[in-house]
Amino acid sequence: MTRKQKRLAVIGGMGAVLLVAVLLVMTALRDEIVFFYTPSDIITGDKANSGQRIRLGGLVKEGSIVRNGSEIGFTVTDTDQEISVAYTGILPDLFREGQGVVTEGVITPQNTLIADTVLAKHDENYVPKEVADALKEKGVWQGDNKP
Amino acid sequence: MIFWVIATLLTIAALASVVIPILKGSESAFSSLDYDREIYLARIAEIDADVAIGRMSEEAAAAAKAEEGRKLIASSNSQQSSTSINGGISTKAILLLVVLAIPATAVLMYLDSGRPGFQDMAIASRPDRDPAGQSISQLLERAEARLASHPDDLRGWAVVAPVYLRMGRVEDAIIAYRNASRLDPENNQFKVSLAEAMVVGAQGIVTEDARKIFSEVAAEVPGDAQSRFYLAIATSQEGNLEEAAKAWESLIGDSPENAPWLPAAKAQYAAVQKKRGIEVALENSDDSETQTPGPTREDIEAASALSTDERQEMIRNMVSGLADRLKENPDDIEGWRRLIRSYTVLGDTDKAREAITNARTNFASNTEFLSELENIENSLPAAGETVQ
Amino acid sequence: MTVELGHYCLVLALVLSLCQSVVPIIGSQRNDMRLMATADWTAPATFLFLALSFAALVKANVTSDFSVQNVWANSHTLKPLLYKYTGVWGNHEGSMLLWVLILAMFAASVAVFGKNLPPALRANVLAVQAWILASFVLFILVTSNPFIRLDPAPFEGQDLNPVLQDIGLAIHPPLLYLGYVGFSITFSFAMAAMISGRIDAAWARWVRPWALAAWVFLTAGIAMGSYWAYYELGWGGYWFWDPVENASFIPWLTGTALLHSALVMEKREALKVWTILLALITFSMSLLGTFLVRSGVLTSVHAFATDPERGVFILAILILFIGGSLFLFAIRAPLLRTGGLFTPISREGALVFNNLFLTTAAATVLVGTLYPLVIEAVNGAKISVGEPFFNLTFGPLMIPLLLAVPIGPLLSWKRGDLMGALQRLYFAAGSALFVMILVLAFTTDAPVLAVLGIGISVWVTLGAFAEIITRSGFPKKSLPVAFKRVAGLPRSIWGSALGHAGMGLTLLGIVGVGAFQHEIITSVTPGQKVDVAGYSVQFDRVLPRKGSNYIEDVVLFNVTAPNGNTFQMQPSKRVYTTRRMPTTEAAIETFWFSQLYISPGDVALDGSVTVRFWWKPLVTLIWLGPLSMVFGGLISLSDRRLRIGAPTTAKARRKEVEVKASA
Repeated sequence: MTRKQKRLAVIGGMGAVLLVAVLLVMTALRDEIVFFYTPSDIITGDKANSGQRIRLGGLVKEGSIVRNGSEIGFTVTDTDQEISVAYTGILPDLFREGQGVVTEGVITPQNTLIADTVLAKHDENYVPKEVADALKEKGVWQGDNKP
Repeated sequence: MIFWVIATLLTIAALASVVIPILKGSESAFSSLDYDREIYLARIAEIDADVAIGRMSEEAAAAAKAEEGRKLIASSNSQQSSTSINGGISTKAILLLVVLAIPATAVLMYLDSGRPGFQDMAIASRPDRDPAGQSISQLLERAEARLASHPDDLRGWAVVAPVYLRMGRVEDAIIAYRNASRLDPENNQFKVSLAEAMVVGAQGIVTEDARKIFSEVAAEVPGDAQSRFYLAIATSQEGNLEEAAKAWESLIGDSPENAPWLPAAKAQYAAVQKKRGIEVALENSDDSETQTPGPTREDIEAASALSTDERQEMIRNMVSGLADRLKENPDDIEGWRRLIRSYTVLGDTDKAREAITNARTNFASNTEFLSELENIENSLPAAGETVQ
Repeated sequence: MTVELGHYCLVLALVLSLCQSVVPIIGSQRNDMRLMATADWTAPATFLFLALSFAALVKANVTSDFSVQNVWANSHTLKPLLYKYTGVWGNHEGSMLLWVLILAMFAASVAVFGKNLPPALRANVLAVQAWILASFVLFILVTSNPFIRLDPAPFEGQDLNPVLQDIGLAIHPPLLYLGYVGFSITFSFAMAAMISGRIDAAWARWVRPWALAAWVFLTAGIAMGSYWAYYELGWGGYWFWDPVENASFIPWLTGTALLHSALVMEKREALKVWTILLALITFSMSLLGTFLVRSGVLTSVHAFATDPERGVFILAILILFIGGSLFLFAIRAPLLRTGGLFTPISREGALVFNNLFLTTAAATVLVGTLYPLVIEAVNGAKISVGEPFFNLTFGPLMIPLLLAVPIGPLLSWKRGDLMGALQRLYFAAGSALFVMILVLAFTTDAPVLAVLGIGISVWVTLGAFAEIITRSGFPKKSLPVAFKRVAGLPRSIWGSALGHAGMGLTLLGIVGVGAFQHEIITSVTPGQKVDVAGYSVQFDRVLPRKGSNYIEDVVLFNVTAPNGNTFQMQPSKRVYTTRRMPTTEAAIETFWFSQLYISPGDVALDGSVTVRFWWKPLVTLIWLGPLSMVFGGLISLSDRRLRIGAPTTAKARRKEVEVKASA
């Protein structure tokens, strides 16, 4: 191989690595990202297909928590629509009725979420940003003028 | 003032860090080539070391050394071509500018948000706070000052009332609750709390005034357990045992399984029945530790949930605690009054007499208190007798 | 008064660093030694003023001076003393003050320990460092001043977030900042080189120790942060691909690449443009991380209270520095001549390979971190990019890189002998195969990828020591001779061996936990036994307990190990009384490299408790690996060869040589 050919081979190799990386990123961005929805998006907006992995955000409906050992059921509401969520495991420390929550899992054809992750943040005044935005859109957000 | 003295010293130090190097000048006489030569020598030493441990062949080492030499020559060439640019403002002008600008900018920027006269307020050394942690009474004083000028502050009265009660200032608590229900007459909770405070003030006796309030509330809210509880106590205190037993029965019957006042109510019911000659088994009395025993958190209700012996024991503990405290702090007239009253209620006449004697020696000059002690002593049963 | 003096010191630090931003550069342009020398004085002075300012804030916190708004908002009289200290940097304002303090510390160390640098370079480096410092001190004074007073002063504070009441917090942020901020020095070196126009091998030689020091601290900081999240949050995870974690991980990847490319630039004067660019990018990524965390643009479990004004301010700093440096780079880079030539199979080639994969990996992490922002800006959809994305993109990029790690150091410069290098790695390859066969033989359901991962980690860990073994001559030479030879090796060889071995160990831990972790979530009643990977765990009872500023329900477990040993584990649910904030304290028991991890849920009314049990095999290697890297970095730093004397000592040394020659 001449020097020029070697150089071309090196540049070609680098290009191949970058190309593979770009392809990986694009595939991953198509398949592995999770969309965030509110209950209204799912029920009236018809945005999520059943079997799809989504993040669902809203408030935990008052009085909706049902426990059976480590199996927990509760309802997430955006004050307009609501979706029931089934979860097995330990709820975060700050999970409370009436508080903001983000759950991640698979949506069933009956519009129930089988969640494997429940997030509530480490600050009792915290409402996840996505939830706050969604609630603001609905005009039910009052967080900004709290004392 | 001292702040500005120190601040001035600090500013001078800051100025010095700029002025000294300019005035002193630098003795460094090395050209940047000297620095490059250092690197060259270090690299050559490294290459030799690599050859010594077999990391590099002699041949490669020779090539590498030649390369280092070329680098050194290249950098010495580039050094020669770079010339220093002079002109612009002079060093002296820079010095002057710096000396003027540093203090001026610093002070102006500081004054923008700083509070030069504001002292530190470490919590332990604050004059408005007792280090022993009596911050509640300090806060209370502030609240009182505010309420004196704003007697229509409902929230203020509502906040101080329970604090008074917990501190044992029952009379003040009654006043505060009176004010609260004056300002919010619709609020039954204030009325009940007022009446409750009256009961506490009357050493657990449901007075006529308190009873009236409870009846009022009970008439308005027939299911109100708290008022029914006290009305039942009132009935039994009047000696109307049959009525009292009925009242307790209906209260217990209406209460939910886990109602916090239930153990206390059952204990009262049992006491009433016992007086009527009927034994009632008290269930799981050891639960009394974990459950809140009465409708309120006050000690009197707490005591009523305990068995008679436990109650006596608890009271005795409280009383002996008070006695110990008075030994260390004998100037507390109110404390002595309470101690003597407690012994009297407990039926421990001898101890009561002893306490009266001690109080006399401590307040030998207080004639008013002495005559009060005299009265109490006279009302005591003769020595040897005990009161049930 | 100390509070106000602390405030004044902060202002003085700003004024001095403004002075340092300008005067030394004028000096270096005019070749005026006196003006350049001011930087050597003002840099330590600025550091001193910031240290005084920080000390004033510490004092206010420790004495619970609630007239200081920052103390009132983040402290409480009942807080344990240790956490009154750590609470100083447990909030936005205090942590920013620590940030600039460390920035100033790096500048001061260049002034004090950088006597081997040519005065013009040192002056320019310090001036650029002062630009950064001045920007951030101004940021603190304008938007996040920790010395704002309250009048009248409250009597009680609002307590510190209990999740942050942890010894990990005491060490983690300072270390992370040391690394994060430390790369500001390489940025300043790159800017200084571009200002003076002198970009050559000597520059790389001068910058390397500083880059290595920053890298050591950043590595330690990230590892600490990961361990802290693991045992404090009670979720059992050690890495969440959270924006804040990514913000520190991207500079780590590019910083690691920088360490390696600077080596090429020093030895062969090649990759000059690339190395300068990496130095700029690494610190730009640190700034970007600071911006993302402080502005609240991205949500994160680590974020402090956020404020849009702060976000805009940091964004302005970000644009100024990244934009400015890249602009200068665009002007200067085309003027650089290419350096030494090399074939693809050579040490240089291996280091380029390393750089290619590290920076590509950094880019994928960056894309994953920023993609949600972009999507939201474009069409308003809210998405999250989590572990699956990074597993699919970052993971595959690491495999070729790790496979190449043992080979690189065995290739010689310019033209390497791949077969010769591989021959010296037979033992590593053999051991890797052997371990893989063992794993296949003794486990029934091991995933193929996990077996492969274990093989790679053994290959990397053992292969890291190939050069040391070769140099020792063992087994051809006797053991004492071999030992003597090993002792005589330059420390930098040990440093890179330990650093690379650390990579292998970390991978082993990640694969161990990822593939062989055993998890049970169940509701237990008193007396009930649960079997967790051979450990019999019996739930005893719930015990209420009171701490200094919290109350807790301790969930007692009696554990019987497979070897018959018994011991107790006491995880708990805590409630911090002031904020009424509940937290979970996991119980962790270590057996060699593996851990038993118990995290309790809520106690139900009937006395049963939902509990998460984990058996985490080899999990501690995840942090022992970085420890090995840090240790390797420190050993390299201590290598005499990384330090070059200043010319004064050179004369003395030359004299020494002359004396020896004449003798």
